[in-house]
Amino acid sequence: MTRRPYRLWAYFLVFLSAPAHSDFNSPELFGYKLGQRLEVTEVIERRMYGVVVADPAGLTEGLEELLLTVTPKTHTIVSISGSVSFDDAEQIKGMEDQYWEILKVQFEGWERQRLGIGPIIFWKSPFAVRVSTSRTRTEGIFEFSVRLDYSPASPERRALEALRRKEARQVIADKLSGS
Amino acid sequence: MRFLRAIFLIGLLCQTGCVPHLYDGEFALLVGNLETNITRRDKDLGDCYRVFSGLPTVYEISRPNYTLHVAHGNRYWPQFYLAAESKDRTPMEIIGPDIEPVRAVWGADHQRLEEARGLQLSHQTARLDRVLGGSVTIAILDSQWDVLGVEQLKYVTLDVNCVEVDSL
Repeated sequence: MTRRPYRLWAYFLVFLSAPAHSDFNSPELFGYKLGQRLEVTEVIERRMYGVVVADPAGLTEGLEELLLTVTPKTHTIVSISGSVSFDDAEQIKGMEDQYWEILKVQFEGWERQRLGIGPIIFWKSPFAVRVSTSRTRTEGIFEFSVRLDYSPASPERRALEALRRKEARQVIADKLSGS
Repeated sequence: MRFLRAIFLIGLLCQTGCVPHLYDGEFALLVGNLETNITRRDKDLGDCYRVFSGLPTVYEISRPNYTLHVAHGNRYWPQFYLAAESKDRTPMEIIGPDIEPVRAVWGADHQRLEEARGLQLSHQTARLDRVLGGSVTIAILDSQWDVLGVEQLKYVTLDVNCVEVDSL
């Protein structure tokens, strides 16, 4: 039997070119999937907390801003969120009703929960879609958002968290080594 | 007058059935960075306290293109909270393997912490009693997420006295 070391190299190259955590089972929300790597050209603006603003073309009715939480080096998507801000909390009620109906169709077959207080949640392990309202630090501004991410205790979420930590270490090491 | 007030408080505690519960906590002190300024000391540390001399609760590390604020948490475990700002006071991104964004900015706990430390704090370290190595390394990023600087926060921990009032 002859050895063919180039085969090993080929396998290695295929391994390197595969996205580290791309989850092709991830449902799509606003044109993106969890675990997908975002191209730098798709970033419109960078914000705090690992959040980038992406092209809002894929947003559904009423939402204005598409926010993706990504890892710091490879821009692997950790969560996907569409949001809109209002001055008045009353306007949010209509949006909640509207998205309860939209998501029932989009995520048909998923478990769902809508209580009087707290967010609307659609879930199918390990994924969760959360419709919530939050008050921003700016007084009087309310933010309505529809967000897809992995459930907090899922192995997929923990893997992405580990990836985020690993990439943060790499960014720091790159800076210290001057590359 | 103080004596009467103390007697009144003790009597009130006895009547309401509340029992002060004393326990040990841990507190972290930044060490080893000569460019770190202590900007606040407190005897009241939140859950815990110091009877005689206060401990540093807020530090400032000033660099040419950013300022990093480091504040100790107000619970009984050692933990730092962070905020970085540019020279025009715009909040800046911080990343690191042992830090994460503050989870509940509008939570009552966090609001109490910000009031006690006099700062808006954007990120938090892991509990330092669970981090190995005695230091936390972070990077401060500009608005394009380019790294402006790397800071190594070395710390030591010490025991502090803590109190909780239990009701029967």
